[in-house]
Amino acid sequence: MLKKADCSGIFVFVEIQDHERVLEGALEMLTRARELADRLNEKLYALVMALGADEYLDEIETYGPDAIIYCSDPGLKHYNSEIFPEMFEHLVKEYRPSILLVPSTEAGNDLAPRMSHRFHTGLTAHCTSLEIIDSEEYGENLLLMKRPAFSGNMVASILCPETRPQVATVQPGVFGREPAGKRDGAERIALDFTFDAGTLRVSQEAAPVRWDRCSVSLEQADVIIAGGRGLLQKENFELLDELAAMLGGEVGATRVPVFNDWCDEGRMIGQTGKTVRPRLYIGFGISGQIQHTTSIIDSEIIVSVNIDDRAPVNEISDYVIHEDAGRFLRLFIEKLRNERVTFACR
Amino acid sequence: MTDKEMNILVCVKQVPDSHKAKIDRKTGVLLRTADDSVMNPDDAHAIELAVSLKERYGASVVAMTMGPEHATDVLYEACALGADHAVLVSDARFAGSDSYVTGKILARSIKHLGDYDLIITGVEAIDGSTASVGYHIAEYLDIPLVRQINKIDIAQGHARLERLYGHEYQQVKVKLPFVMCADKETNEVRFPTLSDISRCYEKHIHRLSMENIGGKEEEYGLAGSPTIVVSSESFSHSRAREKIEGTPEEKADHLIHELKRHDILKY
Repeated sequence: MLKKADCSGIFVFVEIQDHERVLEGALEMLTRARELADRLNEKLYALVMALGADEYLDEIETYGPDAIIYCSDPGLKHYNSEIFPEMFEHLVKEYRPSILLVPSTEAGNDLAPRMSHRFHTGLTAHCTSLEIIDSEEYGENLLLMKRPAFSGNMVASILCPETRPQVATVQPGVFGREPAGKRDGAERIALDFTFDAGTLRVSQEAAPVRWDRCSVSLEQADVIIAGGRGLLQKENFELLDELAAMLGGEVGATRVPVFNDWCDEGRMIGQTGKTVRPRLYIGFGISGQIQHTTSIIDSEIIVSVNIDDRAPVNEISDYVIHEDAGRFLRLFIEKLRNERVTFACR
Repeated sequence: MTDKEMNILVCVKQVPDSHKAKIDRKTGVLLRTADDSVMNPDDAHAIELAVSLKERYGASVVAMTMGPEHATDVLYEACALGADHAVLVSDARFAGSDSYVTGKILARSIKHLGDYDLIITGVEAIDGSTASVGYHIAEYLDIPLVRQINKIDIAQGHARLERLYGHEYQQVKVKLPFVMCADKETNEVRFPTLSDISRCYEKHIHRLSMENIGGKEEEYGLAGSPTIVVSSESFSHSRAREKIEGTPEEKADHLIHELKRHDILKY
């Protein structure tokens, strides 16, 4: 177990996505972590483990870490739940950070709880906010972690006062991404890959089979055009694509369209872990079950189009249009076509 | 095919039923109905996975939960779905435990009960969990953990699994024992028969307390938890709720106007 007084610094797991780019959520975390490190007056470390980690270092450096600890090896091409935690465990023991930040992704959600266990420390998952506070009761310079609770109807504020590191996973899309201003550049620390592959207990048997999931990221979208049961038919749902294209947005759905096979499961908003924060969200024929509404609540502007005057989603909408969703959708597309507008969102 | 019957243990949790939650229309605040509790949805998928393996290979399935006395409801439900044995891990000193401590309690309980070939948990609990309890168990018992399982075959002390990772279905092999996590992607939960439901209340509940699993009081409960919830706020849903009036055409025009005003649309 690490002693609180011995610990200093922030570790950020900079995950590489599809072994070809830095995960946007990792850059968002680096942005926020830079602010937290400045507030604490402690060092910020970016950790990169990948097939060819070197190619990402320049980009990562623009986000202002004080140091980048990196390792390149074919064995690191994909996240591995036996290799990465062991490497992180050694690094955490060596550098003793007081905070470990991990993106809330498949890899991150495997790494973070293992770190939590090995250091007998707390984990706060799916954080929507991170700040440094001084608490009379619990101490100074603590990481205050906020996350949704009770299916998103509450926000819980959590501290990890004594044990270290304080571990948090953060949803991609929560923080903005902003390269740091002029800084001195990061110390680059290269590691040798020393993991003994013979100790792996989960082994690959055959070549993997690729599965092409819907590649859009709803979490990153600036405009979301969503459809629900009230659209009544697949034909109507498919019009959402056209409107989304006109507004530079992505199509989202509630459970019903997915269930009815009007669209791919990847479009569904309202399952665990997917929150969106577009500038504009328009819901067509969506009544607003809690799981969906709490996932969209951070949208800047919410418009709901529904034949049901008392649809729950109206309570959280900025604009309510009491019309048949399919018909209004057609009309709106027609109007927009005549307007020849462009969209402001990038 | 394994010679002896497999031993499978499933961890289940009782949670408040958030699907029944309503939001007060005036204030936008959550109205919590008292005592509407259900089995955590992911955990039902875990039981289903265990029972389907039992049907294929022959196994004894233990359902275990950590909670107060009324958590026996989920144990009865697990038995109606096909679990053979039920264990309640309960102790006033466990109250307020966070995920790390809960994982430790469950892992110690499992160790106390004996050896298992498979341990299955749900991925995540709907009442604000960290999706980490399965991990704490796997780490404590020093066994592998596999998620997102599409297919599973068991033979000669090994499991061959097809699991989804990223954009790939990987074919992997793991030696028993290990931990598996299930959720709605894993399977569809069966409907128990009426006779299963009526019989399940006859199941004996084996009870474990701190004395059984060992450890010191200060390791458990609120005091033993590394994290603490310092406050909980209702999410306020205050929005303009402006109802756009007029003919459908007028409404569309008005909406376009508003989107321009908000700088979403430009000429």
